[in-house]
Amino acid sequence: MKRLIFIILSIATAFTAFANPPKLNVESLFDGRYNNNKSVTISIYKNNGNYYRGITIKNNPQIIKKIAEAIEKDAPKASDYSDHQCADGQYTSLQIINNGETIFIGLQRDKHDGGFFFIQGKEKAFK
Amino acid sequence: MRHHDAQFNLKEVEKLCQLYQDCQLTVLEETELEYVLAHCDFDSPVIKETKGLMTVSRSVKFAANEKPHKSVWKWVPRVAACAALVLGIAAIYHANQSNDNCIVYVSGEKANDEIAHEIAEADVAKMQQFMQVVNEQKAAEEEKVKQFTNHINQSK
Repeated sequence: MKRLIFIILSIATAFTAFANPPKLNVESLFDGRYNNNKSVTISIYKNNGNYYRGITIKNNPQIIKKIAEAIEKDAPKASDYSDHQCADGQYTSLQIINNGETIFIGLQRDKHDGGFFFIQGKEKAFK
Repeated sequence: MRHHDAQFNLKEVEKLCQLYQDCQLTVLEETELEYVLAHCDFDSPVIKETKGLMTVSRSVKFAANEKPHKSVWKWVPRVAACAALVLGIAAIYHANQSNDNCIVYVSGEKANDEIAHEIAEADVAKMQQFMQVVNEQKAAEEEKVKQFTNHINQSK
């Protein structure tokens, strides 16, 4: 009996050990530091195995800068990186593969010190 | 030893009792002596002692012959532990698989569930639009690079 329980626990531990969280710098932006900030809207949404986090910024260049710096730190892990300037602002995007799933990261900077930032992917990618 | 339905006198019974106490009798003889003592009226210290020893011996034999009583209650904690383990794993699995979950902060205030869902869904739509824009930009850039490369190759 004890042996059976030990075997079950070992298997469960082994399965969890195989999955590695991505440890992204951009994830730290959702640690609650901006929850009380009046210039942002923060959304954390989980639905049908999809995990989404977003920050909409209005007129706060410091936060935009922090987000851009976090994205640059994670850029080396990206399988796909793009940065475009166009009429409605600057679009920076990353795609990072983790646990066989793709994590999409994007930052759109408008011309009024505002922006829209998000992290999105399957839940499995973040475990 | 004579057959157990033969008559013994007191001395003979006492001698048999002494032999019993000295473990000089076979099992069959001990059984016959026990029968004799149960059906005779003789009484002496040796006979009393022998009867006492026979009683003790009988109770020990019964204890040895008893089959170990299998207690059902021994299995209850084992079954409960297994059930708890299975339920625990199922609960963790279910929690990981669960339903939607939505938290939204607007200008420093946490929004209620209904508003949170509306904002979150609007954000997801914005995200999809963002990705469409990025993909179109990438496609446009790739097309520019392709045209540039073709131009270079043609001019060679």
